[in-house]
Amino acid sequence: MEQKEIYLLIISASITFFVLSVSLAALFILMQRRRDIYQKEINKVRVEMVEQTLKNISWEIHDNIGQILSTMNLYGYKIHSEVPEKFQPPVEELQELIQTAISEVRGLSKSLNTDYIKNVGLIKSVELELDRFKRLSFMETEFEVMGQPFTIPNDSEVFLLRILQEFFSNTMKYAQAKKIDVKFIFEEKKLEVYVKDDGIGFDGSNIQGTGLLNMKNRARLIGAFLKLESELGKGTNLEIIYKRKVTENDE
Amino acid sequence: MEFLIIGTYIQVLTFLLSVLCWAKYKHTHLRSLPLYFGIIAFIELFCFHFYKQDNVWLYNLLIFFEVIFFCYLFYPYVGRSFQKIVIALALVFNVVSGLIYSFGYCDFWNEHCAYSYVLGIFIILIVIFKVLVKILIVNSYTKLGSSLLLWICFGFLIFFATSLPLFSISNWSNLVGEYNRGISLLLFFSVIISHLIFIFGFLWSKKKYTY
Repeated sequence: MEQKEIYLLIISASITFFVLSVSLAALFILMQRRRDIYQKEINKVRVEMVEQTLKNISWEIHDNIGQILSTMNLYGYKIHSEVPEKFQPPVEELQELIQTAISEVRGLSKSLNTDYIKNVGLIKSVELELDRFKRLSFMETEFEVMGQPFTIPNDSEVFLLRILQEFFSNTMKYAQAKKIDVKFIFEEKKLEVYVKDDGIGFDGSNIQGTGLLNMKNRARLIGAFLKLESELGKGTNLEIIYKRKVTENDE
Repeated sequence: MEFLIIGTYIQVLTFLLSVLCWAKYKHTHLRSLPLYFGIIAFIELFCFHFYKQDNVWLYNLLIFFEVIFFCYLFYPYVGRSFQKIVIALALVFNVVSGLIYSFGYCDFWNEHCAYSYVLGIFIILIVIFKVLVKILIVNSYTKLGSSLLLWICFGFLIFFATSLPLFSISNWSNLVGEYNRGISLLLFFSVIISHLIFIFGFLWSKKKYTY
């Protein structure tokens, strides 16, 4: 081979390798994206399964335990009318307890039922959830809605509520908080949600629980930004920024 | 070929950015990157301005440093099963290169040793491929885009893959006219593109996603 041909070969090999390496890099990115989409689908299915299970539990609570309590309540009335007067105060107390149990079971059933949440909306659902905490004397609550609320797709509403429920549940279980503040700020193109408790907090640099993972997964599925911050002795803050999506109502 | 100065200064810029963004990756095994970029930038500047003639030995020495450095840099990222192979590849390179010089196939001081370069770059490419395969298995795209490791791998992959055939030329002084310009341009573009990727990586990467 002549010197000229060797140089030409080297140049063409170099160009080929360049194109190959760039294609490889592009292919690499493409494969990762595909894998992410696949992962997202799996997460979605997983969340849907959890929602379905919660819905089933909600129906069971409402139709089964709720019915038993209602029957107990009816028997209570019957006993109340038939027992001597001196036994009536404890029976009345029992009836009151059954009434409280019925309303608690209904509240719990509603908060678990996706259809109910979709029906009453996010704000009302959060209100009901916080009212339940207040009623059960778990902690003081404050809920503030600022701006003009816009329509949020049903699935996103459920996911946002589930994220908040996860936070509330952790606050009740671990934070020893006396008060929880929830603030919704509706802006033209986004909804900002701020939740703050005054509990004992935790080491924010070392969060590995499945609860947080679930919250993050749910936020990712609806394209929301989620930030959880905490410091020992300084409570915990949750920030969610949800970008407004165009719904049928908007159109 | 005045454009070559741009290639030299982009290497200096990469070095400066690698130092400025050091906080992003100082907790990782990539923390020694400024050392590499610093040495490369220094040699390029030094040879471009002060040591234009008879500097081949410096580049012959550089390939030894590069192979050992990349094997060290990517060692934790190739996976446990491949780590021993990385050590073996580095040893093979040193032994083979040593033999090439010892038996007089190449003159270390006066001749660009193409064998050593091709073997060295080939080993570096194998290691980079292995790192890419490993991070493909482990990471999600969201995390990956913000990881400096990915951009560093892409940059070196493009640079070394493109320059592998070019470094097989043993006598650059024989290159004349259009071939000299064409080959220099190719090398120049591979340097520019790879360093633009490094710069992008340093600026775009996030501390929490770089491991």
